Amino acid sequence: MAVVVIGESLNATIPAICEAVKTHDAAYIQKVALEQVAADADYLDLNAQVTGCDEMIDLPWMVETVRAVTNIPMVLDSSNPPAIIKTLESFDWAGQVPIISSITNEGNSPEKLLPIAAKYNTGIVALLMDDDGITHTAKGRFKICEDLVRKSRDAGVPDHNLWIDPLILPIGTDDNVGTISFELLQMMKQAFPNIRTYCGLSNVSFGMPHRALMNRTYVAMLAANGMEGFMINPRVKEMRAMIYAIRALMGEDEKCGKYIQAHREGVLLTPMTDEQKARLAEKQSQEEEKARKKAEREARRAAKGEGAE
Amino acid sequence: MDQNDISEIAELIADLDDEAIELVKECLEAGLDPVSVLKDGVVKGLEKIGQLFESKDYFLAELMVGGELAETCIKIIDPHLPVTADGSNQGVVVIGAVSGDLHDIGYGLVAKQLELAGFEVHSIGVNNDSMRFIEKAKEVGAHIIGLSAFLVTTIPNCKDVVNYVRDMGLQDKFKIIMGGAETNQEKSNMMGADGWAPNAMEAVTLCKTIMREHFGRT
Repeated sequence: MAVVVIGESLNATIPAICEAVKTHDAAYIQKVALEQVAADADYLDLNAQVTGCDEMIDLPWMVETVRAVTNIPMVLDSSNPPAIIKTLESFDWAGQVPIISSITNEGNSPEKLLPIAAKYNTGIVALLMDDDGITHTAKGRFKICEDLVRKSRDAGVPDHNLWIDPLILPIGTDDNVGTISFELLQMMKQAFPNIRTYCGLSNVSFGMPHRALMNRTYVAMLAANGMEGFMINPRVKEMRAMIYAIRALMGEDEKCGKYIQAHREGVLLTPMTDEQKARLAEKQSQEEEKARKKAEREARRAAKGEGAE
Repeated sequence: MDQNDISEIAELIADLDDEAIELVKECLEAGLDPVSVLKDGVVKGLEKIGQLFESKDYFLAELMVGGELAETCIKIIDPHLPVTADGSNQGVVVIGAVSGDLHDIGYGLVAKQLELAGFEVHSIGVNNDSMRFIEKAKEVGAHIIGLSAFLVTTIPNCKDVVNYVRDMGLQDKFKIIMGGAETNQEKSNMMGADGWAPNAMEAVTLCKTIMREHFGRT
C-alpha cells in the first residue's frame, strides 16, 4: 500500500483557521491549502466546525474556497450529516471523490454516515472505538474493526472505501500504545485485505518533549507496518523530507527519482553545495535548447512517417 | 543525419532520456558509422554520467538507469559493428567482474572497445571466483586478465587473482589490469596489478602498451 499524506492544517480547531472560518477569510484558507499542496500532500483535511457558526454554510464555503485554487482530493472532516450531504451535492467531484471523516462504533454513529458514503461512493474513515470507549488491547479493538467492516458492507460501502483508523493514543499514558497499532495493522490486513488504513498520529506524542521527533519516527514505523493514510503537517520540513525517504525505502519511488528530485529542489535536510547549485542552474539554463532540439527531431520523425505512408 | 546526431545521443544518455534509443536506431538506419555511434554517442554519454556521479550531481540510482539505457543502446548497435576494426588479432583478453561484484556495464564497455580495437575478448560475466579468471585465461591462451571492481568492498578481491597468478608462477604469462568506478592507479598498485585505466578508451591504450612491452607485439 502506498503512503498517502493527508494535510491536517485546515482544521477549525486550530485558532487561526477558526478565525478564518468565522470571517470567511478566503485568502488565508487558500494560502494554507496551497502551502500543503506545495509540500506534496495527497489529500487535504477540511474541518469547518466552529462553535456558534453554521457548518451547513461554512463547510461548503471552505470546500469551494479551496477548490478555487487546487483540485486536490479532500477529506470532509465532519460528523454532521446534513452539512456533508449539502457539500457533496454542491460540487461536481469528477474523479476526486472525497473521504468523509469520521464514524466510530458508538451508538448510531455508523448509521448516520455509512449510507451517505455508499450513496455518493465516497471514502469513509472509521475509528476503532465504541460505547465502552477505547479498548486497550489489539484484540479488543480488532473486534470493533470486525463490527465496523460488517456494518460498512451491509450499508453498501465497498471495502476499498473504508479507511480504518486504529486510534493512536499518547505513548505517555501506556507503553504498549505504539506496538498495539502494529499488531492491529497486521490483523486487519490479514482479515480484510482490501480495507484502507488511516491515522491521525500526532496524538502519540501528546505531553512529551520533542513531539516532532516522536511523530516522525512513528510515521516511519507505521509505514513499515503497512499504514497507508497519514494525517500530518507536510509543511514541517523534517516530516516532508522523511516522507520522501519512506516512499523510496518502501519501493514506491521508482529508481528513487522523487527522492533525488527533492534533494535537487532543496527539500531534503542537507542543502546542496553552492557548486552543485551552480551546476544545476547551468543545466536548467540549457533546458530550452534541449527542448528545441527534441522538437526538431520529433518534426523530422513526423515528416519521415508521412513520407512512408 | 550527421555527427551532430551522434553527439545528441551522448547528451540524451547523459540526461537519462529514453529518446537515445530511438536516435541510435535512426543513426544506424541513416548509415552513420556504428563505431562512431558507439564511441562518440553511447560511450561518451556514459562517461558524462560517470563524471556527474563523481561530482555528486548524479546518484547511484541514476547511474543504474544510465547503465540500463546504455546497455539497451549497445545491444542495438552490436550487430552492426565490424567483427574487428582491421581484422588483425592484437592479443587475447579475459575480462569480468570480480567476486561479489554484479556490475556488468563498465567492463562490458571495455570489452566492446577492445574488440573494436582488434583484441580477442572473452567476457566471463559478473561475480567471478578468483580462480575462474585464471582457468579461463589458461583455456583461451590469454595475454591479459581484466578485472572489473565497482565497489569499495570488492576491490580487495582483485588481490586474490594477482596472488594466485603469482603463486602459480604465471605472472609472465598473464598480465593483470583492473578498472571500475571506485578504483584508481594507487589502489591498482596496492593490489599488485600490472595496470589500471580510468575508462574504456584508455583501457585499449593500456592493453596495446602491455602487448608491446611484455609480449613484443608492434
